[in-house]
Amino acid sequence: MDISKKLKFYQSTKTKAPESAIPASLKVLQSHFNGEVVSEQAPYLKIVRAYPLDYPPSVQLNLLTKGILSTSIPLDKCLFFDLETTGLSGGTGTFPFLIGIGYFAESSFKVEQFFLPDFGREYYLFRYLDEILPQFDYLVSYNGKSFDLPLLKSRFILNRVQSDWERMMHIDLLHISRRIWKDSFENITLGSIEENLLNRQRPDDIPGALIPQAYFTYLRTGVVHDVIRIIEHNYLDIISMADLILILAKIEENPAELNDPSALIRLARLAYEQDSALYFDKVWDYFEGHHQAIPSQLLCWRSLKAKRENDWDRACTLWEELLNTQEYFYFAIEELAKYYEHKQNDFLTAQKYTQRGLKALKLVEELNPYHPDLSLMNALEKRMLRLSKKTKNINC
Amino acid sequence: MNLDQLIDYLGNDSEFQKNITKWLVFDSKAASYVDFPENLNPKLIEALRQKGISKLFTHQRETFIEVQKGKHVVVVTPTASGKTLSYNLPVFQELLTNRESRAIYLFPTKALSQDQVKEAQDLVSHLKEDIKTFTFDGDTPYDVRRTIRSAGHIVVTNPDMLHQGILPHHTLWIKLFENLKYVVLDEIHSYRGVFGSHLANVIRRLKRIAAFYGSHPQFICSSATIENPSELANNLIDEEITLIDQNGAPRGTKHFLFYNPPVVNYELGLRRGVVSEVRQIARKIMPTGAQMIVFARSRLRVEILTTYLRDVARQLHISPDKVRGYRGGYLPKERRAIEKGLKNGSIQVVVSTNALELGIDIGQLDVSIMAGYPGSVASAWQQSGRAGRRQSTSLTILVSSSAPLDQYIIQHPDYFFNKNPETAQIDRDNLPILMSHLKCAAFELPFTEEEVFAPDITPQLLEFLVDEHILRKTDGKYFWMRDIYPADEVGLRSTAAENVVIIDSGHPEHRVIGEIDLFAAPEMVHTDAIYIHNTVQYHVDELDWDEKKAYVHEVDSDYYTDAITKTDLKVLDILQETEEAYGLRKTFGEVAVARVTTAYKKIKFHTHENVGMGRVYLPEQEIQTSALWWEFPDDLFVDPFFKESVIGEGLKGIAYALHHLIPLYIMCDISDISVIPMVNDPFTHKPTIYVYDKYQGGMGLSKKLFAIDRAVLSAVQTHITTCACKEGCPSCTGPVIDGGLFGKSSALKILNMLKLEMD
Repeated sequence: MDISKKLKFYQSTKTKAPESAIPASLKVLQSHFNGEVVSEQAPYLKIVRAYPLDYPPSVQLNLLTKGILSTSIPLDKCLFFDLETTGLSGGTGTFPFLIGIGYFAESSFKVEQFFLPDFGREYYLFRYLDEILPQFDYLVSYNGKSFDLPLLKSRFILNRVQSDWERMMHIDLLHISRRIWKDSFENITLGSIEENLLNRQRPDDIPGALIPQAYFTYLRTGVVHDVIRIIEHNYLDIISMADLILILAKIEENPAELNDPSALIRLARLAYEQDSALYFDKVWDYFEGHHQAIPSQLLCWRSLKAKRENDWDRACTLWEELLNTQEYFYFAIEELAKYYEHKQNDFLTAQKYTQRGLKALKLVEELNPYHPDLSLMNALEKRMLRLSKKTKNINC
Repeated sequence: MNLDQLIDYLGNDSEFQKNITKWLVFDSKAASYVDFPENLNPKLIEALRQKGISKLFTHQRETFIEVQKGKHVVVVTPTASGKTLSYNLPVFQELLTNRESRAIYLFPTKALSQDQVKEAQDLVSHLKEDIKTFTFDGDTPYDVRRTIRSAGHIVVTNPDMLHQGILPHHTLWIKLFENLKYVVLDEIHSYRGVFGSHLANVIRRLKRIAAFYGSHPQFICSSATIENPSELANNLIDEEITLIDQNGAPRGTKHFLFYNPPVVNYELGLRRGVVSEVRQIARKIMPTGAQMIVFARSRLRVEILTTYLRDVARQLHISPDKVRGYRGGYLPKERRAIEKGLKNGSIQVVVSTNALELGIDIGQLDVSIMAGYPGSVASAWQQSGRAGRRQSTSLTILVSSSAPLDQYIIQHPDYFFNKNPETAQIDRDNLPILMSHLKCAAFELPFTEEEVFAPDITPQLLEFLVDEHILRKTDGKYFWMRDIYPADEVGLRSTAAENVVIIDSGHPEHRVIGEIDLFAAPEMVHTDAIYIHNTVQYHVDELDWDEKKAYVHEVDSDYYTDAITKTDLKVLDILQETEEAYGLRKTFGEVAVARVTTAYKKIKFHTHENVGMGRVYLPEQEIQTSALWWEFPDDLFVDPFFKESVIGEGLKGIAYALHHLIPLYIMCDISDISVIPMVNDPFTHKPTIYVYDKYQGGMGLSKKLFAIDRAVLSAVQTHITTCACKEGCPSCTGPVIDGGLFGKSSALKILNMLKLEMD
């Protein structure tokens, strides 16, 4: 086929492109949300809302991201996003029919939602997203690292739209939240975050698992009731992310913002791991300031911190204190034995502690012979052996 | 004693000779060497020289040249003939010129792929180039998968992984699909029946995805010797195929012995057991120090034989550690150790299932013994190929069992001299299989209206899926509209989508001892049946039909059960029919087979007394499949000898032998087909024998039989004629106890009247 024939053919296919009239159901949604139907070739619904929210120009999430985001994050460079899809298992056949994005602008949080009323409508939307993407340097999502972003990338490829996703930093708020509230809430969903931190309920929320079927029903029947619920669901997810990132920024600044001992202990651990003494002390001060009994877990982290700082007196006092707890008894025994053996060269005292640990362990074994902690037993016995050799050497 | 002396010794051992029905000697053949092709990359030539290869076998060069011409090829080669190099050459040539290119190597099993990766990596190490070969299978750790997706030049995987792990996530494999130049399909003769039909559809999907990314890969296939390698390759990849079957590899003298154990019960036609015969033979060979592989047909047999041969070793003052078993279910580490032991000679005897038949590198041994015919000539050749170091003498002994196919083969060793008659069949348009892959394909990429997945019927199938709300048609495209991941619902290897698992509840861990397809389950594992598995008897305590589980416990019972199953066969459609000589009419068509098991008999072992009955309450099952049937004209039976019962016995005898001999022509398991004789068939109103594929939608088996039925019937006739028994035996027309006194004579009389001798 020569070029002119080819061109004619392409032209003819272009004119054939169906002038799809906007379906009634889409018009209903449009007026309900006061939205806009975009793209005549492949119409979809665009809904823009502003969520009033005061925000600082930038936030810090250095500690909470374990130093991955060490510089301050300008909030107007963050693009929040969340998808509603036709399946939860991933793979190229899963279609994101509702794409919600949000960003801070003009002293509020703007939410743009794009509802695709049928398959094959994403091309023009993706082109639009591709255009605005360069304005942002950060992607913010909730569980987007393993679900939403791979899915979106996959759909971009299928539509042959090439975007440079790799340029952007991805802040997955789920990962940060899990780090803080793992011991506080049963599951770390956005819903539980809203309930516990934002004091927000979702009375008419549609459960995530029902969303794919609800969309299929809409496709077949044009009934919009559940679609309205899905759009609301998605909207709430996005504004909650905005609220959440501001809360996280406050926690990063001062842990006392949290009135949640379990979460505070996890923060103390994070501070210890990240070697942030200042932050650790803030957590410590919180407990002291509230005249609360200090949880043994926190004592343990504190003792390790003291050890790291070579503050041995403090460490020993803490370990002695931990000897009275059940969970950290053996930990304290081992730490004390190590301290006396290596730091003090006081083998006899070290032996005394080791002996005490072994005795306790053997008692436990007698009471419950089925689950002996063999590795601990071995470690203690080895130490005992070494110590007795060392004491002998001295005696010689 | 060396191997040549052993061969002399066996030749003079009259005890041994008595049981040898045929002693074939294949003369040695020198290698046909050729120079490297002129345009072969100098780096490759240098790397090959380092490996000690300065010339190629003819078939390696021919493959290279044909692939360079852009042809899809199938290379037919026996084991140990440098097949791997045949496809590595063109692939590496491409990778050396264009490092962006990619190749997929597809192997039927995981074990095989590991070996091939080693081989390719060895070549890379000599090339000193940055060419990456990775295995991608279920065991691949998640953190390296990302690297493989973007950086693997050669991705080595298996059909199941391609189907479930790669194609549905093709956007993650964009680098691979954009640059896919070659797809290597190794051992394609193992892709037959259901597995092959699935694979053909996976290939359709692969080609479709590749086309989306603008690539059109070339296929390089390899196959063992079968009758129809090109046809099979063409069916699998749907492209024109260039056949390369002139093998240039050298071969030493090969002695191929056919050993038929002596008859111990003439009346029943029973021969001495294979296991004890193999023990006797091994006892003669082991003192020579020859390295030996024994192929057994089941995992249990492997264990029994290993135990026996270790005892033999002890008696001969050979360390029993030199005798090892090898089968699936052993840990990979253990298997690697055995493979190594065989290569370095520290293991003298290995007893294996067919797990060692396919290209796993164990070096070459001296003697290969098959404890029973492995089921196909192609397999037998591959197992035999395990013996025979290049240029030196090797010995293969096939010890046959009493089964009809074994007996037929042992009396017709010419199949090993002449052309292998076996054809590998697949049916890529089997409706249920096609449908499940059409769904997977729609999930992977939306279909357009013009697109052809399977010729002629794609639009109808897509519309059907639209009606079922599985796809949605909008703007001329078909989109996936379900919240499930369709590839998860399709297994490539199972014959039925569903099966019944058999659970030994007597075992402390409720061990699963086997599975059985849904269609056969009511007969075999109905409640209160005695189910025999690996010679162990189990009593079925409950068949939970809804859960598809049968609970059994081991028993030692003096009776077995025989289910009474009503089979109702209805002809749905006649697709092709011809009138044969003597009024025999053969028809190919579609049938519905409904089966319901209603009761069972308890039958005492040895005396065969009926000692009781029981009812079975199970739902009727129906499959729709393809079938071939012969109607026998009435005037064939004018002889007063043919009382109705005698006709029945004769048809039953033919059906029995036919059923067992079909796999010789059409590679399949005998459980893949069913043969039903009817004295007065309600559809044809004549004596009729039906053969149908025991698979929903048919598998192309009876279709092939329709084309070659005279050859098969003629083989049946010869086999029954030459069988030494008087009135029928398990090796020809079936045991007299089942077949009746006239089974053999009536069957022969009928067949003789058909004038089957063709040539």
